[in-house]
Amino acid sequence: MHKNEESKVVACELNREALIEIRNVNKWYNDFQVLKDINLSVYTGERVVICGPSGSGKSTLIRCINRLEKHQQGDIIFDGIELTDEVKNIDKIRSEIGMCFQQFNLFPHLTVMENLILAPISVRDLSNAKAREIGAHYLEKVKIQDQADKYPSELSGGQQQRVAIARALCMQPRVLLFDEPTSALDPEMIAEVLDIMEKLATEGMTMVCVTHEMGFARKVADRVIFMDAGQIVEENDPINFFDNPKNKRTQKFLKQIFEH
Amino acid sequence: MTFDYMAIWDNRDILIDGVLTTLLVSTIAIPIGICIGVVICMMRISGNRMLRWSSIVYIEFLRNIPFLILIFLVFYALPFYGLRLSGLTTGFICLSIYGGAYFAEIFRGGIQSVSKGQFDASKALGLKYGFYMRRVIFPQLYQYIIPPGTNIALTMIKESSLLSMITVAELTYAAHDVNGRTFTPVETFATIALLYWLISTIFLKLTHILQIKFGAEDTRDDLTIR
Repeated sequence: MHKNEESKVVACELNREALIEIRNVNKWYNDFQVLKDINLSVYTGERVVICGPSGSGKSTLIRCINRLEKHQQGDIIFDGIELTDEVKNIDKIRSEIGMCFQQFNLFPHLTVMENLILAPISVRDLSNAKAREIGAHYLEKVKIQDQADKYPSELSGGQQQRVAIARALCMQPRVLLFDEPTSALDPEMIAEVLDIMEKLATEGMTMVCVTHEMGFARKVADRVIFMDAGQIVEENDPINFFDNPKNKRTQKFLKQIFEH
Repeated sequence: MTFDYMAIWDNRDILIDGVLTTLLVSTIAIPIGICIGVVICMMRISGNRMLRWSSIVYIEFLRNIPFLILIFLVFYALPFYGLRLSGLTTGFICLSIYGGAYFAEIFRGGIQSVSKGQFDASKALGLKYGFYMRRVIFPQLYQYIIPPGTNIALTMIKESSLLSMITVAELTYAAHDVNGRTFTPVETFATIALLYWLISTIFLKLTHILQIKFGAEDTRDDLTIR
């Protein structure tokens, strides 16, 4: 697809340094190995989609990127900084990485606007007024301008997830991580969230997205990665990934997904 | 059998002083106990092994022995090690640290009840630990800690009656005093029961206001069998 090739060329031209570098990463939960020898680079401006059956380690992998989970072996390097136990200012690093969760995780005791401005005021030291300005801007972007003073419990799932995306955007991160953002939504609300994510993608936001939404992957991704049992099994651009899957496991997975 | 009201009325001063002392001890020990509970709880969940271990020792010791034995230890045994405290001081200290152990566990239970996703989102935004505990987690704790917390506070008010055993002139001590003078156990202890009941009821009414303010009322329609 023309758009994908174009953005790949742009990414390579502008920035040879990977924003996120994952090298030989292994992780265990006690005796169970959840990540096996993962190697992955994400460049600024790229949209990477990770798919796979449940238990494949895809959520664990992206949670390692902002160190919500710790890897035991291998290197994870964000913007040139290696993530280890000794890393100073993990909070500062995390503020450059935005994340959206399957369960939205909005702060229930705060209004929508308060949710958005909490981190910019505390972490970026912005004034209340400036933070609200930014908040209003991103609320408009996700199309929920008139809900600023509502509480999360008063919103639908789709609206809550859009607020969550706005909240992540208010920190103006270098990359957005999505952990199955639409999996907990009713079908009719999935589209409104995917629309926003597509819009962000066309505006050049670097994204790493774990999702089952293959239509979205086809349209938006520069690269699609298939993970199974803790390993990266296949990696390709969307056209080749969906039309010519090389690995048997990928083929089986795609068959199951599309037969639904 | 006639109820000798006059025996009680004539000695009302002693009983009123008793009520005031009970209230004094409780009103001071409960807030201090809550503060101790917060500190111990933070130690209990900290990453530091020494802090965690110390807090566990503290909680286990104070929760697993009777309050009466605790006050005997402090009042009667400590003097042998050079520390002689008055009954009232012993009462303040023991009631506070005893409550503190229970409050610590209640707070810990509350923190664990807040969904993990709240911690994930806070960390993902780059919020610092102290900041997000205060602004994200603690505000969500009230609904979990107010009901058991008021229970412990109420227990502390009633446990204060044991301080009568170490010469503190609170309400139970006053009861024994009046009974000793008038030989009217029925009237005396019935009155004491009523007075404790009044103290507790007023306390619960106040905490109910607190519950409503923090949205922690325990009124759920789906729990009633109809």
